[in-house]
Amino acid sequence: KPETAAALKRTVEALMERGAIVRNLENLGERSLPYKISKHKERHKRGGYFLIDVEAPPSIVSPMMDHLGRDIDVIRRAFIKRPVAKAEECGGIIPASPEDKLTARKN
Amino acid sequence: QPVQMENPYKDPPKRCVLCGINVDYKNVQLLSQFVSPYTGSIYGRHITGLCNKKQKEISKAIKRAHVVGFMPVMFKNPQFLTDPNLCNIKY
Repeated sequence: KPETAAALKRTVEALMERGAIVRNLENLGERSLPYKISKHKERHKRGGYFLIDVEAPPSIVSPMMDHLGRDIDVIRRAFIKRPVAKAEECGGIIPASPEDKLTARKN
Repeated sequence: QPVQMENPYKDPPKRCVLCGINVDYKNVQLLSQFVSPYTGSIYGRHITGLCNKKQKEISKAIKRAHVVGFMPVMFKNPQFLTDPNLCNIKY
């Protein structure tokens, strides 16, 4: 456990060094991975999942991926856009009119 | 004289199962409900019965969950095997 804490601290410091604002850090628990992952010459079966909410310039992404790739404690890394809470406009299934079906293009 | 108006007896538009529910790559349970328990493949629109948008969102979330290691790829997580069935599939 102190190793995970140290790894997290390293990551957050690296992020802040490059000028990112860390908003939130969530621990999604430690569970057994869905499939065995081999990384850094080791086959991993259990891992801890952490979610870091970050506000950062996009130029940070590649150097950070590099940095995390070199870290042995990190098994898998990913940068995902924060999903904006969009308006709940789901108006149900609107049946397509026959004219639409005539001129429809298969996309 | 008849008054022109919109059909007052019209049914409200049919809603799919996920209408109004936010789809996230993190809730593996929801995502696993649209995946085959034997092969782990994502069910098509004719099986899940979801609207266009939601089907796309689900499939993108499932693929993302595969990549970041949240959801197993070749099978369904056995923890979620006894979930209520949302898709009209007959084995």
